[in-house]
Amino acid sequence: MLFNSFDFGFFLVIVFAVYWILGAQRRKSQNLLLLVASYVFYGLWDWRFLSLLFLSSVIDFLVGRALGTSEKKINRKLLLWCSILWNLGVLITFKYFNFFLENFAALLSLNIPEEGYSIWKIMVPVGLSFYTFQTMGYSIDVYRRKISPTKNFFEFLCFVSFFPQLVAGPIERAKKLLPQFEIKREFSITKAKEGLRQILWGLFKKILVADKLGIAVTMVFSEPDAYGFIMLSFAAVLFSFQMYCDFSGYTDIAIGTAKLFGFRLSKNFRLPYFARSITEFWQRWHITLTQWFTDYVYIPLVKGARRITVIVRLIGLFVTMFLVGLWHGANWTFVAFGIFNGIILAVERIPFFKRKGTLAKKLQKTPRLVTLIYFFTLTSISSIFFRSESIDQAFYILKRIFTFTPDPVINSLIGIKLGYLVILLIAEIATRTWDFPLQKWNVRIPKPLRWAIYYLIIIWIIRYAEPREAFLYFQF
Amino acid sequence: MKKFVKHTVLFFIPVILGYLAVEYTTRQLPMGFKDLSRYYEENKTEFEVLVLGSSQIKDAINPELLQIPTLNLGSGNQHHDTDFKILKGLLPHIPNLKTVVLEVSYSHFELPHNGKDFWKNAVYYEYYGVNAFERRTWFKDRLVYLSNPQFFSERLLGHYKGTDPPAGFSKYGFDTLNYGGRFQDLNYSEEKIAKTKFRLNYKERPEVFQNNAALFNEMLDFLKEKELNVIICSVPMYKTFLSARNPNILRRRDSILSRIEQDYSNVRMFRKEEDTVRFKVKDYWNQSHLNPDGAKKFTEEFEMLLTED
Repeated sequence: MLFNSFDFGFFLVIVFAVYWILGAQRRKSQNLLLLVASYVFYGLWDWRFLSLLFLSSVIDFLVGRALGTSEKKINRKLLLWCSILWNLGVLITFKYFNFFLENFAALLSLNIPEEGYSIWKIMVPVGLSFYTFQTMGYSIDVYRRKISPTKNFFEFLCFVSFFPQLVAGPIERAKKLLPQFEIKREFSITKAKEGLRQILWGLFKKILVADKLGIAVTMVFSEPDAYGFIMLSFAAVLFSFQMYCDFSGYTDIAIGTAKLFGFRLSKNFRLPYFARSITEFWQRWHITLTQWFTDYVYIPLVKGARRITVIVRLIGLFVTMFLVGLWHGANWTFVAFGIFNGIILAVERIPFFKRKGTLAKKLQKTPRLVTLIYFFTLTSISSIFFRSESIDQAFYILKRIFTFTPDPVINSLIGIKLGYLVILLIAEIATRTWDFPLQKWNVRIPKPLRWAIYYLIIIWIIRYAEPREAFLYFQF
Repeated sequence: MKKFVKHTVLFFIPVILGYLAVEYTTRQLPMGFKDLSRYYEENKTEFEVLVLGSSQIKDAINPELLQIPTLNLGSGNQHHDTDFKILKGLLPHIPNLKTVVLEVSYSHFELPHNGKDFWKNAVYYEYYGVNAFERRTWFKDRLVYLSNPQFFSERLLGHYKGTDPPAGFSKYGFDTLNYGGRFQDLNYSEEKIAKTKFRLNYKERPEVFQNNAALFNEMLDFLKEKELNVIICSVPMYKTFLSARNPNILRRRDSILSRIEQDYSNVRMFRKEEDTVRFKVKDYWNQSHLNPDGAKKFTEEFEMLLTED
């Protein structure tokens, strides 16, 4: 069930109505309802993978419980590794098995008959990378004694499967989300209305901006040899925005939906295209993933070294970004995306300048126009790796761009529809201190005008919706 | 809470009413589906020939000109997987069916299938009662406008502004006024047509080919099991289209077709793709579609094949 579908709207209305009819006094029943709704939501994609979701929850719950009672260091470590190995095992089995096998075979020039591993050629469970990271994060936090393990199995199941953020995040920490299942959730009309406004904004981003840009991007990336350096560069920039609007649109719908049920989810984006450097970009882009990798990969890697030197930090950064790339998918294009970002982040953090000054710091004081060119050049290159079908295609496109291959024709690719992106940018920049542009409309704009604008957005959304288009980040 | 529900309901009432109005208006548009649906309901016990395929075959066979009762359910972008679903869905209701016509165009085997999310599924469901969604359906799956708002919005605007070319659907669901294509715009000038760009799939997709060929064989096996005759058909293409085709795609398709001809005794070929002798520029709507005049010639030849036995 996609967030941008009629089905989801119907589902949401029913769950919302039953949830608040049960009322805040029946918290346990509300949790049970959310659990059932979440499993239905997930099962409608593919019910076979519900068992995997359930099993992941059971294992991390049991690991958490055992960690809570165990004091011996060796036992605790063993338990933690049980959780990590299970979660990574599931990820590798379902997401990376063929990738590793094919590359291993190619490296050793082995000829493995396809029948030998075709049983693994199955669909990747939706949202696998999100929920495995969320449960793994729980076990690590319990191991580090940052949180106490929960005793309530149902609440833990709810935490892992909470449908607004189950398939594409934000990747929530147990410390933040789990307690919300443990307390009474009162209905707040302000929060509910804000939730609806955020859903509307998310739909605008996804349907009117991301999907429209997607048409242009697909057109160019499916036939790169028909375009020259200007159109290819333009398509790469458009893809950066498509990815942003697609994913942050999803996040807005997720956060807005959670608000309707009295929950608060983490912010995942802070105007990433406002960044002056790639370092700053990763502090603004997919924040919950960046924080996850920082806390559970980068810091342990750096702290594990005998002495924390610049080189150690840079290696830690590089390895982390390599894994960030791989997290996005089993393809060399994603690995290249991670490595490329790792290299730039490393370069930005090397203290080249006086008084340990780094490029990242210098860029903060550089005129906006220069940083804009710097930033968009790098993100566009990075997005070429992300979007290309293969690593060869990515280098082919880069070659055409950097050898200034002339364009047979130059146009806007989607014509007037590019205007939606302009509207989005103006709205986001004008309201940059808010969580999303429609957030404080109820206090700033009179009701008739507000409603007229909502109607206009709804008409636009219905009128210009493309036939079913999945969210980009579901595949991860 | 009550206040929120009241406000939300009040807010959404105009949205729902507005949508219902648009849905109703969409259903009033002239659409071949509606006429076909009526024609199908009235004559389903009599049909002996069922035509399936894309817009190319839809525009090429006019059932009105055939002696044998024929139902042409070809439709734009309709691929073999959808054809198969329609066939399976309608077969129990067409007791006299003897022949199924399947279209294999130049790139049929190297274009991805429609899949279960094809927007026309709603239309098939509403007008032919065929569930091509491969899942349980509910009332939303019957909403025509919502199946492709972009397409139907343009149709609505075009129809009410009068910019849509006139449509003249006969009771057989065939558009007899379908002349207003690219070629008419260019006044059928061969010189201008030669300079005009057009869309043609040149991209080779060997994986898609394998998948599509497998499904096509499955379809043929199904039809053989049901003891139905099959005519594999390709529609005339204009000469500029013919010369622009990718020879590898063509070679792969032809190899499959010759194997089919050997393996299936119930299959006959009706390949007119390269007939540049009988079909002239004025028979075309664009490079890959016939207009009603071309359809007349094509249907006549098709009739001869049908009555050969």
